Amino acid sequence: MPEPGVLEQVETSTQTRLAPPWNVIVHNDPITLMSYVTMVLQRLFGYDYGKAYSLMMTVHREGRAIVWTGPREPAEIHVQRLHSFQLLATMECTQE
Amino acid sequence: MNPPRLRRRPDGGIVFDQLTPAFLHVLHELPELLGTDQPDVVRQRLYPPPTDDDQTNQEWERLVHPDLFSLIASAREIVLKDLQSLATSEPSDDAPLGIWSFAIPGAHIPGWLSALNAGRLALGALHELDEADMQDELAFEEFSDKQFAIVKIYLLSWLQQMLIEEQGDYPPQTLDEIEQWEQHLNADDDGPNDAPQDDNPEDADPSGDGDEPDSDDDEPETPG
Repeated sequence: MPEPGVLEQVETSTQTRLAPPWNVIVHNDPITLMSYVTMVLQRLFGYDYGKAYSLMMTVHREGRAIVWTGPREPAEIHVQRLHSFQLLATMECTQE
Repeated sequence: MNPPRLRRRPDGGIVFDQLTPAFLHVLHELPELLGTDQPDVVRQRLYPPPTDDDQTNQEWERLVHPDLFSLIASAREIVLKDLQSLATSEPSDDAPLGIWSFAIPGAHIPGWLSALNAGRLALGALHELDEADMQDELAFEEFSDKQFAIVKIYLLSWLQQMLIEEQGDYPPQTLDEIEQWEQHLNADDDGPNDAPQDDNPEDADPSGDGDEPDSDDDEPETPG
């Protein structure tokens, strides 16, 4: 029969936090055709022409545009695909 | 001299007609621009880092760059193969060197789009062309290497634009589409850098086949 003793109870708690989303960003470059950027955004993201054109114009006017936001892994895939079309694309976390 | 023309073949391929020797010269330079011995400045443009984190970028180089190299190499092979099909008409007073045409099979069009774009970017990187260079009028008093590169970029732009128009599904055709487009443009004026939140992008492959209907865009414009 076990000796009576003191049983320590360790209280634990778990906190879960959603991973912050990542932005996929397309940057302006002086060579790439505007129509090509629009076409790529339509193909990769399924955007209609208006949305793709609008994003392209943001890139053109402001130097960059966030073209997609979401979890990190899909963001990496999007950047890889944008690079495969030779667009200047980066990704950055929405929270530092 | 008439500008080059593009016509669609029944089998989905296209034919570039009325190409002048200047176009041919630039097209024949494409494979060299896309070769494996590219200068660092070209590689940096064609294979840019995805983040500002060195460790992530090194991993990216190791895992992603081989695929990107393969895509460019594949596009280069397509260009080399199709350029072999060049055909010329008889020289005439108007075109003493002849008028050239060549065919691109439908399955090769994405490769050509990629090659034309990469070739233009390579020229831009090699000659350190910036926004101001590309917006200069093409009226040079002295033809420097840089200006010659700009002319080549514009020639390639012309062909690339024709291919994009052949592949694209724009501009909007119906009233609903036009209205939708205008709404996007208005929204852009209010908050131009809003992030789209779509989480279900359609799959796409830069070397895949695109079969969208015709389009009718303006002449090539840079930059994007």
